[in-house]
Amino acid sequence: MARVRWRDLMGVREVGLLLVLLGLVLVLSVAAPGFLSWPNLSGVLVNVSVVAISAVGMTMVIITGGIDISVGSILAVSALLVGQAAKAGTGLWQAIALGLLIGAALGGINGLLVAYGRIPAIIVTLATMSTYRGINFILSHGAWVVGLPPYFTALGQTNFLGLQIPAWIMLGVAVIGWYILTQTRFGRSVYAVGGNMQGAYLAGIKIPRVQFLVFLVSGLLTGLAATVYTARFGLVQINTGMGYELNVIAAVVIGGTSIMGGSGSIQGAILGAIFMGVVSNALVLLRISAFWQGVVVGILILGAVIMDSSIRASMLRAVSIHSIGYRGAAEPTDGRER
Amino acid sequence: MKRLTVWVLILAMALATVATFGTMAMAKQITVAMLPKVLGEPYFIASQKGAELAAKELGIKFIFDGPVTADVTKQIEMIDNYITRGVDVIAVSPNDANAIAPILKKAMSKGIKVITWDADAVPSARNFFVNQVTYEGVGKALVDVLADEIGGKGEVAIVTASLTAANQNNWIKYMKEELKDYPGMKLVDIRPSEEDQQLAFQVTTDLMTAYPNLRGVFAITSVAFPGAAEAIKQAGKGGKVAVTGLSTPKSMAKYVHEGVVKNVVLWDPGDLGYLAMYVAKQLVDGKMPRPGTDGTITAGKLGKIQVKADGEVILGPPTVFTARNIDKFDF
Repeated sequence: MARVRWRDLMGVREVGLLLVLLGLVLVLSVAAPGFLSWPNLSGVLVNVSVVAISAVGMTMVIITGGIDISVGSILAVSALLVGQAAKAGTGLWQAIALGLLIGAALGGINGLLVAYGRIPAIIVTLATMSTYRGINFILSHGAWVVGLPPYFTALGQTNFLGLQIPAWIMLGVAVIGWYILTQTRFGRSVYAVGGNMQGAYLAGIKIPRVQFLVFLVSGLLTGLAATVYTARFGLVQINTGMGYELNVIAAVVIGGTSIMGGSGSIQGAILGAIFMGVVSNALVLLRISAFWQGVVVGILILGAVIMDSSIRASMLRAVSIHSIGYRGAAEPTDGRER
Repeated sequence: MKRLTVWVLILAMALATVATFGTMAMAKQITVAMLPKVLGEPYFIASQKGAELAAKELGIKFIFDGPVTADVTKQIEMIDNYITRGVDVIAVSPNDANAIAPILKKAMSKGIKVITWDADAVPSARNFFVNQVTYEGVGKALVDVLADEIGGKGEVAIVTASLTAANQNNWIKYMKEELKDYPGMKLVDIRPSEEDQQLAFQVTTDLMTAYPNLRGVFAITSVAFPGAAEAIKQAGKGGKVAVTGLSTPKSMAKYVHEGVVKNVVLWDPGDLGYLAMYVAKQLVDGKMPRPGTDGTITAGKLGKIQVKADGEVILGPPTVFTARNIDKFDF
């Protein structure tokens, strides 16, 4: 496990989506002038960074068999408080720490209720989605936070080696998330809880602790995403993050993570987020009428998932079953994903 | 006989004087309770200031109070209290057009005049609605200011709320009408931003890539406008791609001072509150045009104001905020 191999990074699960994405990029390079330029491509990466950062946490939640639909509201509360702090002149690092702290606290409440309150995740986060959104209204009185100072917005708008900082943060979070999920004991227990809860219990894994921690991480990363989001735009609007949870969940699921839990990967979620970013970029670049947008997006997502699974199936036939079990004993053995 | 005539005359004069003073006193004493959607929001604070000014001019006893969150049930509670207390006019910006209707009807049945301002209730539940601007007025102002910025020539695009947003669709309809006056301007695309500033940012960036000759963007929601301006700024196209739209002066002031945005179109909520008080006063005095007829009223510093047959009082053409005046507005 200590040695990182290419096969670890791009498992069968991700290669399918990667090929679909590359195909889409190829088509767009020909069909849409302006697509294959660095400003456009890096712009897509920066645009998906906020969703992708949350998607790393969401991937862990969904692998344990849970779901977190409160991330949009967590984003809103964190963005509001971070924005107010930045406006009051707190330092950049303090603002980042505050975002992480608030996100972790709100995610921690979700985790406590799911893990120790034994309430289904969808019900807990449905309730907190509404509660946190309400808190956001109470704290803000419906007013926006505007005119954030330049030292703070620099975090969202500064270029570093040709890419704006939000994209670097996304990559950093993805690498750390990948490491935790695949190279640590905790990561393996995340798969174990979602893949076979009884087995995990018998193997001595503290299931509530794992459940609590994944919701904590989901909140924490959404708090970070909120700071990035606020710094990118320099103002916080009252309806920040409405519908955000759907984009995050879509990125994770398009990335091949099973909504039933037990399997999935960070790389997949990042690819899923990038896929969605490329699609919405393409719609404008190809000058597809906005009235067709919903239909086209739906068909592209379905097409990607179908192609992904057929590519995966044919690769599975070529590769021995053995090599997909490498990620640990926690892979589901009931054939649910095959 | 002569003495009797004199006495009768004196008595009549005395009575007339008392009656005159009486009516004058009554007219001066009217009490108006004004409710915003929510307390503390700069937009409504501006309305309150405008209304206070008019109340002073008209000698109105003015009460201003509202819910701390934009909650219609709190408004209903407060209106119920006003009915018990007995006010002459209730002026409300309802958080829900239908939910507020029963309590407003109750107020009207007790002889209290009811006006809505900023947002309407069901028309049968109020006497008049003090509305900001007409759809036509907004559409025309948006196109005119952008045409002025880009010399009436070039490709332009609209970033709207969602494709189903009624206000935006009406504005777009009149914008298209107005664009006919500028044959050099070509509307190349209309994109939704779903009231999400990140999407507005992204769509504006993508529009500039898709249409390299794009000269102007209309961002016609308060959420989309800052997003679109930020996109143009971060792309380094400030001054090359013009952007205008509807938003509050405070959220756009930064972009106006940076030169990315030249004109912000909206109405002045202070004037809206001011007008609401004049409508309240003339409603009690019986000077409003009869329902079902078009007419005009005179409202202090605002001058002649149009009243439509359906009971809508229109503030007038929108206000255009520029670098010269934008810092004067605190909402």
